[in-house]
Amino acid sequence: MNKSDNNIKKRISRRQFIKGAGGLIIAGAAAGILGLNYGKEESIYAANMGEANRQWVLVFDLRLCDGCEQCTKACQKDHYLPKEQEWIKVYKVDGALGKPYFMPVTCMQCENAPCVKVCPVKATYKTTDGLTLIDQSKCIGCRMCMAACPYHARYFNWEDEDYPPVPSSLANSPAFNIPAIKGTVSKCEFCTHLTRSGELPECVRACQMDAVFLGDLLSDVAVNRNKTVKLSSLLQDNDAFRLKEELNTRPSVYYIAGHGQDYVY
Amino acid sequence: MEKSINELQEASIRPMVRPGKWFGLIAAILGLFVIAGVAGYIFGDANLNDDVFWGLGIATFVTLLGISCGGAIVTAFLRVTNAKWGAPISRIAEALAVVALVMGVLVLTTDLGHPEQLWRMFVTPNFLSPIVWDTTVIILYFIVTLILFYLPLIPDQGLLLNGRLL
Repeated sequence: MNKSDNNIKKRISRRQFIKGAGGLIIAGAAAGILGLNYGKEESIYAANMGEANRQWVLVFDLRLCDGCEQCTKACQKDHYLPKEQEWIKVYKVDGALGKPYFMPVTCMQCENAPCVKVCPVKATYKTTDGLTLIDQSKCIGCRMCMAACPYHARYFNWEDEDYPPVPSSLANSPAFNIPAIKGTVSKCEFCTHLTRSGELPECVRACQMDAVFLGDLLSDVAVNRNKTVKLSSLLQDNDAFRLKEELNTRPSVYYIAGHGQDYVY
Repeated sequence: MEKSINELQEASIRPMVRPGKWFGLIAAILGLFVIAGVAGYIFGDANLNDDVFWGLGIATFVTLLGISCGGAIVTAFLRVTNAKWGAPISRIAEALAVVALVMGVLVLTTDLGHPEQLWRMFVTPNFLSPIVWDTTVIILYFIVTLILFYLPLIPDQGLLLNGRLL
């Protein structure tokens, strides 16, 4: 046993040593290059992390919503979406008293987002202002996030042929996934491109009934076209609820139920 | 009609030395399947939408993975029970396991929206994702099936290396 060990030791010649060392150096260099690239990607990632002093929420007042779908139309126009992609979708719900009411549903921007957990490449991520954004240049198109989302908020870009024409000045970024990359996932992003420059999202601007509010949990303000109210009292006084609370996703979209209408969950 | 060991060995290795008479036909039919598959990938419609977003691709992958695991379990039983007569069966079963697994991964890759971005899964993996663990398991399983396929091939390699028949 000892003898054979000695033989093995003797057999490591200078050439073999140089080979081994060279291999190690090449491997180290490769790892270093990968690490540098990783760092670069992280810095792009940081540029799309959002504002630290905001926690965006949307509030839908179901007492006022009349199901006109102006929000859906405005959203699709602003984002150059095809007809199948309704980032804000208005459902007609049959109430308990036989009276139907309308329920607009967007991406819930969950605090504890299932889609972020299942993305294998970290293409979808949480920002510091409470949003869930998608970096479509990283997306591999596995559609696991669509399977994980309990709110059916995500849409896959199957084809790009019948999409409305997009101005060539627009570039795809996590804050504004337009023009969408074919074979990746899109969803509502609370109009980050507008809110970052101090404007209201398209659905808030388009609602003729003033049923949609954009709110900020940190400054405790909710606004729409005509009103500015205190967010916490708007939610508490009207018994606001969130969809599928039992899943512990902690959504950022609140609903105010109307008179004699059912809670949906 | 006793055959000598040499004749048996020659018969077992003959298909590797010169192809049989149906080889060209079978290769042509399989080639047509390959062309049909590539054409389907480029021009085809998987009939998926935002409600049914995992369809035939994922189902085919699961089927092929099941076939692959079937081959592996046959080999595993033969190894556990130490059945010496099982080498030819184990060879077929493991060849099936390797080929079915490779086909399954190919089908899965064609089902992705951006297969060229797959390297990101190895550089920036999200370890919470089931897909990352799926990939890990498939890679480990592929290595194991390759080893189990290689082991019963060692005697044949020796036979071929003897140079008697080549």
